[in-house]
Amino acid sequence: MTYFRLEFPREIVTEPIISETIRRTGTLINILRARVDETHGEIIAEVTGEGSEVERVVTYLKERGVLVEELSGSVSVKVDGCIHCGACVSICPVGAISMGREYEVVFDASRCISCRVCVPACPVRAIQAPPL
Amino acid sequence: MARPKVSKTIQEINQKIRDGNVVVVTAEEMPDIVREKGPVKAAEEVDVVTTGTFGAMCSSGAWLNFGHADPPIKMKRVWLNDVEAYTGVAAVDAYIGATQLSETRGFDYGGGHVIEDLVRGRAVSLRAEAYGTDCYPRTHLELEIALEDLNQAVMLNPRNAYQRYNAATNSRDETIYTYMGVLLPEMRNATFSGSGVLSPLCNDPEYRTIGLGTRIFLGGAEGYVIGPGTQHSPADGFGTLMVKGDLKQMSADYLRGATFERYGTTLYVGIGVPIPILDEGLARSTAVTDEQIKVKILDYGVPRRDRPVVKETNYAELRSGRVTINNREVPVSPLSSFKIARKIANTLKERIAGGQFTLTEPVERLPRRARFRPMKSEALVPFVEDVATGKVVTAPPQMSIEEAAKKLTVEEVNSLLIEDEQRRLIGILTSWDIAKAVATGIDCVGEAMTRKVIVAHKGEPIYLAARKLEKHGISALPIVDGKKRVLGIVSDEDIARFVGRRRL
Repeated sequence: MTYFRLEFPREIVTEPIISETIRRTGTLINILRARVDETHGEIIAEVTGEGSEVERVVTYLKERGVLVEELSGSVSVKVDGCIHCGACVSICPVGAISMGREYEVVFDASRCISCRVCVPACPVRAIQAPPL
Repeated sequence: MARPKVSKTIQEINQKIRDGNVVVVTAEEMPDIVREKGPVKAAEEVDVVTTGTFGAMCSSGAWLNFGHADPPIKMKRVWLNDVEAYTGVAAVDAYIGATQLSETRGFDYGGGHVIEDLVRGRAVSLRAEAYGTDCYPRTHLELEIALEDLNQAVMLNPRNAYQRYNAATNSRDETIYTYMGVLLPEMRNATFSGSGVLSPLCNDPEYRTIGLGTRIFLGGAEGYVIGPGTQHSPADGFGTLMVKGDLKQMSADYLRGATFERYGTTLYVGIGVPIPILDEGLARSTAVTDEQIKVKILDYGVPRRDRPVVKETNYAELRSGRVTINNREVPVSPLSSFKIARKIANTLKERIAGGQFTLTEPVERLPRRARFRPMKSEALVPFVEDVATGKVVTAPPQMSIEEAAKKLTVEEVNSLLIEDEQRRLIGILTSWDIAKAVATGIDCVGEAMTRKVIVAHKGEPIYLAARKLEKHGISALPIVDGKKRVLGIVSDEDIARFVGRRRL
């Protein structure tokens, strides 16, 4: 499974690019999060398949003018920074953040897709994202 | 009220603290004790129940006295790390408030962060301006200061430790950024604050032991309740505390500057109130559980003073991490830290048991009947339907582009609203859409129209419509009812006409 952050600039935001990509490549694309308005689109998606299939998807998306960024690694939590409030747990699209038995925030790095949604949601800025 | 079977005084409890044989438990431990032994036995055995909460408390800040410079200055405006503090008092006194934003770093840094930096012993840049007087000739000042350089640094928070607080969700089709955190569209998450079973005021809801002069744990040090907080509203179960303490004694473990994304800055404050168990009545009230503390989940997607209630729940359900809204399980985020609230209750328990913290009798109890009132009404802010003058011209999706173009011209409008057979709004067709359709050879309105229509809802205040117009760079919004039926069109001109008459 490979995760991507796709950005759709204004010129192409109204085109049905994801559908066309699926039709063209025959590869499944699972949209985890989408934010689309008149001027801009951003999608976090999971692409299932062999390396060459994933590559075809990426190539096609780029041809259509989509900015493609592969998400890898995971965000990290500053140990002394987290106050364990839990503001981040309900917005993680893949359930990588949860509340533990002692009400501590538990972060499962293996599930993190580095979408960075949690980074600005942390009130004390304790979550750090890897460089793009 | 029947005569209590157990009767202790605060003086007796303090004697036990000094003698080293006081029995202290936390408000999390008390429910089991009372369930097992009954309130009378529990009141005989337990002397003090400690509470705790650690959450974002915007109505917080500190009075700072900088001492006099030479030559002296009577500060007119003052900034700490580019965050303005209020100095409309004597020459070198200023109040730094938690939510004041940095003039250079915006949402990333504010008064709450200045307070945390001071408590951490970090140097902070002080900048002041003045008009100069005969006795205070200086007009400008700039230097680095630290907490130890200040004469006084008194934390004084007008409203802290809400008894309980409404939870939040969002029905809109877009993410919103609020003081209740990030709320996903279509009610896909919910957030809540407060510490439930450990909440100070929930454990003594009659305020029998809490009032002016109650010594408390504040930011790691000793502090005092100095009265009811602003908006104290006990009649609704929303009591609040006004508190003060010496910032110089406090710790950054219990005071943290924070940012709510795209909302503003605040301060996480740690507060613990010890509740003396004077009789079985207090044993009973400190046995309160998460299940018994009711919370309403409000729809923050509706930006009005009275937000609609989506569901009534309690802290037990909220703390489980999942809440059912409209037959769907929704993940829940706490915004207060229960882990640190528990640490506060435990620390206070240890300090009392260790003889380092004694209890005080309040000089005056918190009021029990007041109710918080909304702002005195100004002339009513109008709703979109009150100012809308736009002409509504509708068309079915089957209409041809040519016909649509004619209709636009004849009716002299900029767009057609496309409705289905049930008269529900399904799209909008602008002259731009027509131009595109002609260029690409599309001949049917249904294919050429824009399906995602940004709308205003009936009863929406014009402020919100103005924000939508600006955000999406558009000039008009169809107004729809709950069934997506079009009631009118409100344009930027309609709103401008109103704003022109009166400043919003």
